Amino acid sequence: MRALVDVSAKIGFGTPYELNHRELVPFRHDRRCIGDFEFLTLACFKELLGAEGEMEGYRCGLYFAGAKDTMRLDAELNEYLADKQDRVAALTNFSQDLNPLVALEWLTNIGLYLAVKEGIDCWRHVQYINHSHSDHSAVAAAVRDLSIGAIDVGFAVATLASSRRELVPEKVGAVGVRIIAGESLEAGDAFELSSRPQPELLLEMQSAHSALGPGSALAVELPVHEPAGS
Amino acid sequence: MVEVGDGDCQVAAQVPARDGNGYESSALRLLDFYQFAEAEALEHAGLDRKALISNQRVRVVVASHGFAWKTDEFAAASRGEKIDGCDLSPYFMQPVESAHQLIGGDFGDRYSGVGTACSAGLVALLEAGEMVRAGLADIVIAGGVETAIKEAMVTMYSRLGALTTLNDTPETASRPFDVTRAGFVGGEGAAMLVIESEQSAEARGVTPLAELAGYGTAVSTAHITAGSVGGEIQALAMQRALDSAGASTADVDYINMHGTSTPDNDLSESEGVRRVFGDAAPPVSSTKGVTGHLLGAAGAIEAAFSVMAIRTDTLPPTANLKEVDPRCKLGDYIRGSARHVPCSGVLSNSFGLAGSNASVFLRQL
Repeated sequence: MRALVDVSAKIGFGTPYELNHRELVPFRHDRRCIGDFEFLTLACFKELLGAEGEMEGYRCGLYFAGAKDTMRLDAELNEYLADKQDRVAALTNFSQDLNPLVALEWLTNIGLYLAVKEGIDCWRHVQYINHSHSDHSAVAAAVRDLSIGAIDVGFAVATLASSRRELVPEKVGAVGVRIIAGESLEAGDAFELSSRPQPELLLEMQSAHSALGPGSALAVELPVHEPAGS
Repeated sequence: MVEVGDGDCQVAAQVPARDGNGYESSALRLLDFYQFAEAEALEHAGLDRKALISNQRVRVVVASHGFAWKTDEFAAASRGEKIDGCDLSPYFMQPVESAHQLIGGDFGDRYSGVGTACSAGLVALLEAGEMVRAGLADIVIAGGVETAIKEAMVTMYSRLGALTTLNDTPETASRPFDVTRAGFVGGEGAAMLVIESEQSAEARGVTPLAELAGYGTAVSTAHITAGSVGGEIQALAMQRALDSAGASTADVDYINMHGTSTPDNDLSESEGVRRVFGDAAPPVSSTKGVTGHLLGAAGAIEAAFSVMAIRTDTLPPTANLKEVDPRCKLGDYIRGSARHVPCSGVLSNSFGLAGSNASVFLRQL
């Protein structure tokens, strides 16, 4: 069995995209970064899902990589808190008009929510929060779970978003791959996974897959360290 | 008790510093918790950490909820200062990354940090199981660590209505399945388990404590910040755990419930168990009556309790459970004192806000 990337997607990261998240997401947000995150994740997922109903009947695994820049946001709140002696009271008052979602910070769970809203059958869901190589963990888990038959299709997605001007547009985006099991011997040289600062791995995979042309698949392999003495 | 301003909840199970001096940052506090649990687990398993670091067949998976921000950064952010050129929001950030980098630094990309809310501790064990099953690792140090008792955390959950309001009786405020339960009590702690392949254990000449026989996850989208009602999705996670182990309901002698002490979870989880087991559900209990809710670490510490149930043939009771909520319709909620009965199979549940549900089935070897 080989793990094959049959669909890849990249939104943003230097390519233009239209931010129109309020029409795409089912709940209200006043925080632009979270809106960006939702928009980017959903847009990426829609490309990975393929045609409507294509994933029906498949056991899917969702592997998200969070990105630290999504956590660095909201000068407004900092300004709001700056002169407050009682931060707890200030936070409480600040939160009163917000969606409960915003009171929690699970940005990657938003991705899960949006993905499952698309009607896929989720058998595995993990969000990786070790930020230095989260996308590597996500892709490796998808390949791993495919190889042992725990899932039929794996989605690995990394999203970076920020409302901060410090994060240049080239750094904002969502990139992901859809991985299936296959036996193709025409998939070209296998892409061997190795970690690097995220989301470079997924961006390289997406680029390598795109370079193969429409309808092509990119084989992916996990380096396996054999047990000592084997 | 913790002082949390004028919120509805003023109760939490906070763990004091080991040396009594406190910590420079929350990340270091989380690291200390982790190192304590890891050292205990490795000693119990007869493993040497230095040897593990250089062994490419060893991995580490740690779950956390994500409230371990640095107190200095929190304070700086509250003053409106920039950190690394960026504004930091103590409200939204998830800077547990700093703690994860401290914890996992020795293992490089063989380290994974997972965060799926309150199911994360079990998801870490699932990850470990899959790594071993796929032949990618012989040994995985897996579990969860949580140091979440922070004013902001308490405020957030209180705002969601998830925390107890039984402020006058903090010792008994966590009372899963009780008709008077009023929300969960936040807890802290760490639990690490050594997940090892059968071949590796045999080669080392050690006897495993129990088999991580099966695991299941199921995801719902009923609500982004609430658990799933009706128990259907929780039942799916439990059934998948049994199926993956090749087990039946008759193989389950005890269920360690997620049992948070929130009105909604305890009801829907009971309904989920009924969907799987019908009227033949085994005895159930929630150890959160004692520990409070360890959030991202809950699944790991409760898996450890489940292993102990198998090892000692002892089923723990639900502390502070006096009168079972009549809407919770399972037949045997263990209360009062522990029960000493043969126990060879345990199902352990962890269900998270936003609909991430996980169950594992542990079996006597």
